[in-house]
Amino acid sequence: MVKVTLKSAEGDVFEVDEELALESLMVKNMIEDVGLDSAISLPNVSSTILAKVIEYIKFHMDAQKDGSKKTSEEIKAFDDDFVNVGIPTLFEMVLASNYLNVKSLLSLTCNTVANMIKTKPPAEVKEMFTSAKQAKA
Amino acid sequence: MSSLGDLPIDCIAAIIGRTTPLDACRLASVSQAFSAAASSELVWQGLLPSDVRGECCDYRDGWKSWKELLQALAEGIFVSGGRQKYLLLRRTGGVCRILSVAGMGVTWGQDARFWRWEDSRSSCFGKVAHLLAVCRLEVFGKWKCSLTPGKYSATWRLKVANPQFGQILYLAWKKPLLFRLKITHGKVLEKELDLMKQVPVTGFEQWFEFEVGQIVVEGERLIAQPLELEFCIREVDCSYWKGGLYLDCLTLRPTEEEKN
Repeated sequence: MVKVTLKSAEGDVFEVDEELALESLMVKNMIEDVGLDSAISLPNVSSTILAKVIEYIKFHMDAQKDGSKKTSEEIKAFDDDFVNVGIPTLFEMVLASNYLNVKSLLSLTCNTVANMIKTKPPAEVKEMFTSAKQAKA
Repeated sequence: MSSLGDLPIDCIAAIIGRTTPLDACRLASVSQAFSAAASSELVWQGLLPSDVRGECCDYRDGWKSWKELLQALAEGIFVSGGRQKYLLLRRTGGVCRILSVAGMGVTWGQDARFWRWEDSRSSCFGKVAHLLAVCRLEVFGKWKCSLTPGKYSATWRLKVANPQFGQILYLAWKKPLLFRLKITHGKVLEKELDLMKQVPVTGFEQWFEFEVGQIVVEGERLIAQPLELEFCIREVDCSYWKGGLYLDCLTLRPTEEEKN
């Protein structure tokens, strides 16, 4: 199995299977352009987030494999648990999946944010996100 | 980097595109970035339910933008030669499908002694079927549509004439009307409506909705499934005459939010 080396913003190195790395269209394009010889650096993604993204892709790849015993309930439970994080982390995951171009994760995270802001008045949405910003700062 | 306003516009657009049309309008006032995102075509294309997207693409040329198409959809778009209507529910983003009685089979429907087709401003289609008198009441049809998985409530819209207005002779609904609905490979829904007992609650000369039941469309999320519905209304006890009934349409209304 060919390995791909990904480098996070902090410079941490993640070694993953090529198959897994190709789930990110952005990484896929990079590999096509520069090959597998050097590490692919992802200056916009922090180590924590990159680890989460890898965890997500890995789970779903395993779940799709033949002979996987995972039920759709288990997959849903994983997804629900996966996005059950603070707003700052959630946003970073939106950004990362957008940047890395991982369609399924972008869809999951955007849906989560969308459900959070549905039916809320604009002022409340605004406050919700400013307070999240301050909490982080 | 943790304020929603700090996300790039395409991310905000992707998020707003997963809410509902009503939310999209409301969220435009959150910030400048939101406002810009909410007016992008991507958002409005995303808000258009996937099950009508294909069909509406055929009509796409008539509108300048997806947003305009959605606005039209919220007012209702007629399809199939005016016999069907799509109506967007602003609050949930789901789409109702409405089938006019003009698109159904009505026994004796073309005989003006029994049925009269009348213009009605309160109708969904502008034209309703007025039953003067029959001894054999039968309205039936097949309806092909494609629906995204979820629950839909199947509802008839009808009206009963006031017997005081001179139709008392015919308003002799001794037996209940039988409503049936069958979805491809699905079970048969049946429900009875006793016009003598149940209607005075809603009042005569008032349109009311009668729910036959809920149909469940299964399948992968957001992928529209083609299906065929068979429906009918029957009251075929021919030993007496009945009349004074108006029929407007059959509606399939999504009862759960389609996007989750």
